[in-house]
Amino acid sequence: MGSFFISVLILIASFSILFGLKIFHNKVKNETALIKDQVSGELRSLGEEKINRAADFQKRIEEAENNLSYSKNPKEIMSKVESLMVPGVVLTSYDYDSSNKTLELEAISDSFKIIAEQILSLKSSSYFKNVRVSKTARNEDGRINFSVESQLVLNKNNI
Amino acid sequence: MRLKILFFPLSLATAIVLFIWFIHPEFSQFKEDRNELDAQRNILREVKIKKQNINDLNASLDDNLDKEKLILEYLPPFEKEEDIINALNYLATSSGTVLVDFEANIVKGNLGRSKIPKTGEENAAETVKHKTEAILNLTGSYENIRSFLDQIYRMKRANNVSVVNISSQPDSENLLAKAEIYFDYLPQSRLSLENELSDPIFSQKSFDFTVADKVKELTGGDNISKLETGSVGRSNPFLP
Repeated sequence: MGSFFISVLILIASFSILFGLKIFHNKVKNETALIKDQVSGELRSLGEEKINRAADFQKRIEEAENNLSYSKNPKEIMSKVESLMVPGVVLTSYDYDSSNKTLELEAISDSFKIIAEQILSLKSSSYFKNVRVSKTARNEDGRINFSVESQLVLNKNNI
Repeated sequence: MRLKILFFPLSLATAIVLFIWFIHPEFSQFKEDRNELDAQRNILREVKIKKQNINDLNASLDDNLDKEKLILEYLPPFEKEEDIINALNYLATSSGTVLVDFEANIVKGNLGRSKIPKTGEENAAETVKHKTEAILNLTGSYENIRSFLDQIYRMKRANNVSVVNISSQPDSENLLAKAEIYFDYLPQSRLSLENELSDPIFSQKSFDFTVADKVKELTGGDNISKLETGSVGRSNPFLP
């Protein structure tokens, strides 16, 4: 008799668990669908215009900040060159390339000593590195044309 | 009597079959759906917070319309070539140089400096910044050319003076300068409803306007007048 009751209890318990689980499961599914609808409703109520305005402005200020940090004032570089010019040297060409960070100067002078002083002046500056004379040639007037190539050291501390 | 003996093992077998074929799969699915429900609750909470943040961000822009306008001028959504020509002409004249020729090319594509999209956000809208390359030749004294380049740098338009070549001309005191300048512009970004949550800006309640202040400080001297068409329309466009 006892085993009969236990058997009935086992069956009742098994079916109760199954149906109870099904009821809870359906409740969870319905609630999930409801929340998904709420999420969509919240997003729709915001309006794309507001979302895009905020996102677009943020991107613009980030890009503007990038531009401010990498863009260099060419006047500042020219001023550095001015301050390093030695008397007796006259520039004939100034060639600045910001992407390669190079500066090539062509100049004219009366003596090799002055040219050497000019090279030394550029080399002594922290704004230039790899300073080298690429060409020297005496012209018809007896003056010396020369060109100097250098790499620019551009950072917040100097430019 | 024999049936009574069989009843217990049969009910046990039925319970086991129910458990294996129905209860266990149902429970597994239930657990998954429960996790999905928790995830959706979190999404809803997040959306509500971000909705409030977006409203706050828009309010912060409404309170700083001048700064929003400044940034839109500094990095416009269109190339605005006519403004570039107008500005270069104005700056050349005001600095005492003569603009000899001018060429503009539009270079589309990412300039490779963008911080956006942030790492780990596959769906985030991609930022593709374009640029207008302006190649110009002008003549003038060294001081005037230097002043022109300084004013270009301080323009209310994001730019980068990439190449400057200044050379002396025979039989002339004036110098000839060639410059390559890149003017940036950023097309309007459009987010789709699916990926808008991933944009990190929506975790903030306000914008950092220090960049706008820096731009204002840099471009303070830029007073280039707005370009207007004036009187237009002529019956024969081939006549002067």
